[in-house]
Amino acid sequence: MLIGTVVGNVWATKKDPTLVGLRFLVIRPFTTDGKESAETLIAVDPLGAGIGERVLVVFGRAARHCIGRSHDIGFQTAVSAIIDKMELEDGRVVGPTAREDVGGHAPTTSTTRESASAPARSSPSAHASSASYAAHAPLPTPAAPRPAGSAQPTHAAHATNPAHTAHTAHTANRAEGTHPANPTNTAAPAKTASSANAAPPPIWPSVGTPGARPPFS
Amino acid sequence: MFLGRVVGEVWATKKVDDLRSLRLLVVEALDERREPGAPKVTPVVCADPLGANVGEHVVVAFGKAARVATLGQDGDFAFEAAIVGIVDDFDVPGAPDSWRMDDVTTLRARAGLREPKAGV
Repeated sequence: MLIGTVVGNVWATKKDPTLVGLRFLVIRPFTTDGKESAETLIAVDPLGAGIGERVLVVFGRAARHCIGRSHDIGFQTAVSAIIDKMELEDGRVVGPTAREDVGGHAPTTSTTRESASAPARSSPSAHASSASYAAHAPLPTPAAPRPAGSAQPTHAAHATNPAHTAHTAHTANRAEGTHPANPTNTAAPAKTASSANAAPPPIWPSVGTPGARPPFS
Repeated sequence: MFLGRVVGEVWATKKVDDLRSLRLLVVEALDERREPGAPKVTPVVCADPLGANVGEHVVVAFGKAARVATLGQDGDFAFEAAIVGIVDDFDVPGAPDSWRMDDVTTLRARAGLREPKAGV
């Protein structure tokens, strides 16, 4: 099990039949030194986590159980919880999103450590990523930001709902609904073709935007 | 399985039902090759049936071993890592400083316990 930040969504039309209707998230694992992990992973999300939220990721049998289908399924990673709070030894309090993080003294130890071990390394970009713990994930608030105290009862009600798999199917269907049957019939490609001189739109411009969808949706 | 050190605790309200009534701790693996505080450490989140404290050294197991150690049986449960032992002491010649265990006073203070009076 590990903690990660949701950084995006993944859609796939051509996939194993056991994966139809599931929602996939791109998750960046949490690291204790406050820097961004270079690696990401893909997990099925039965809970409906939004971009920027911190989640608990499980693997293997536990993950297949969380997905709520049989064990004959072509996936081994799943989101099993959405984190409210994580308290670390060094005084940091990691909130449900990067915005709710409470600093502690991790940044100072991180920078002193860096300057002590490698004083020659003074790249501003390298320091920018480690300067403040809040910069760990420069992500916006998720699509549905929730204050720590007020929204918890609904979460509890949701957590106690034994039919969370029904919710899974619902969100999955919703995600499927946003996926176009034929991406080429949207107007966006024609518009970009007419303005050939303009810079091409980024492949994934809207990661990090609340309610983001890739350009073909 | 690995030897790790408890560095934090996690709470989640919205979670799979199996995770209710489980205490979740954040454990950082002790790595002989790693300098103390080296970057890019992804800690492991473990179920804690034993009641370990932050700062203690623990043994972590994965998979079926973790489920059996926590619930006494294997089955469909939504976790696959658990603390199966709290380390009293270890002897690893040449272990780096980052492996050093906290003394009892520090652990007591962190757990909010008072130091026992001498002679009692």
